[in-house]
Amino acid sequence: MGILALGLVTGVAFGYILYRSGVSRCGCIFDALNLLNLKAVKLMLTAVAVGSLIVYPLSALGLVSIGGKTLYVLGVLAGGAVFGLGFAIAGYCPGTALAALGAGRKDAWPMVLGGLAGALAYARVYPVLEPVLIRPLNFGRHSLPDALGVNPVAMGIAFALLLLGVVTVIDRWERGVCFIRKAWVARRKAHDAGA
Amino acid sequence: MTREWSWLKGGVALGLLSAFAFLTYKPLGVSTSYPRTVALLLNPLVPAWVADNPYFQRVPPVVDWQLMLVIGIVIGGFIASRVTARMEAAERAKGDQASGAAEASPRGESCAAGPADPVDVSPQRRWRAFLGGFLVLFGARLADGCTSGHVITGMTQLATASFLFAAAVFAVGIPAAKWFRSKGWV
Repeated sequence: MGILALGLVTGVAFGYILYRSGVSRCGCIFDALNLLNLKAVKLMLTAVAVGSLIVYPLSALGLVSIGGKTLYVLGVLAGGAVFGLGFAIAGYCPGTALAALGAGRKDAWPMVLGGLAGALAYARVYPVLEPVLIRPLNFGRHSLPDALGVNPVAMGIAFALLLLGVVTVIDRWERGVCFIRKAWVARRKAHDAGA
Repeated sequence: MTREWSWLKGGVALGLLSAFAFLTYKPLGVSTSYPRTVALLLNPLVPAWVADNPYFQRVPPVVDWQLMLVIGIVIGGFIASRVTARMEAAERAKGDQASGAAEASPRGESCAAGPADPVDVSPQRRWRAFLGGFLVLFGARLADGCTSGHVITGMTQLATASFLFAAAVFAVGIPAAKWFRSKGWV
């Protein structure tokens, strides 16, 4: 019972954050995929960085296990491609659709119903797809630090700092104060003046 | 017009929640709960089919932590929308001195509202949302994760599959979204 209550409380906080930060609006996702406004991308990468900066030091102390995910190249790539197409049509991911549903958005119901239909369809074709897309090129649990033979804690913290750098550059680029963008614009102007 | 949280505030909050989930039980994830809900709905109707399906043997019809998380997301979205509506009503009551705040918000802070936000949604938009939802969940189950399970927690775990997944999502999603916008569909 305790675990179920914990899940519910975590979910309420999750839904609250998704709605209050605006990423549960499909317009925010459409903007990001059209590269017009990368708010959703910056938010996601910041979340990964903050999570890593907490979880990796604690894992070094043995307080948390990081776990991992199974790598099967074909299914992950095909699934990502199908997901990307649906993402560009719906403007929701499975989580943000649920927050939008709670907020009463009228296109969240069809998204969730479509999701349930998609899950049923996948269960139906799973026996056919499994030998073709999941069994071949399956490396079991696979993570970058293991594959590269690097200390996971060091790599986790380094990756988080790298992400914070990337997010800062994206943000400064969008606000027009990034030195890379300034140099790029100056070059374009010089080029146009020459032509 | 109540300003929504910035990417920094939202990102830090989501990162703290992600770490909380790692520490208290297991990493955040959402999309497994869709087939689990299907299994829970079908189990009373066609128990033999659910029991024989190899995928539902992996995702059996039981209420677990993640299903409660998913119910919580709906409740959290509801609470957040009420809180926002109340704040906006209070601001309107104070007068329109905040008019023009939307224009003043810097680029990269607040996003476009999206198709007919917030209430008036056309039938075409609903059918597209249904189709998009179908593809999103089919893809997420095939890849074994979605934005939560692969991108947020999978990248935190430095899982190789999650980087591949994110690359595939954006490699298809960006040109698709640009094409749909050029057609005026979204």
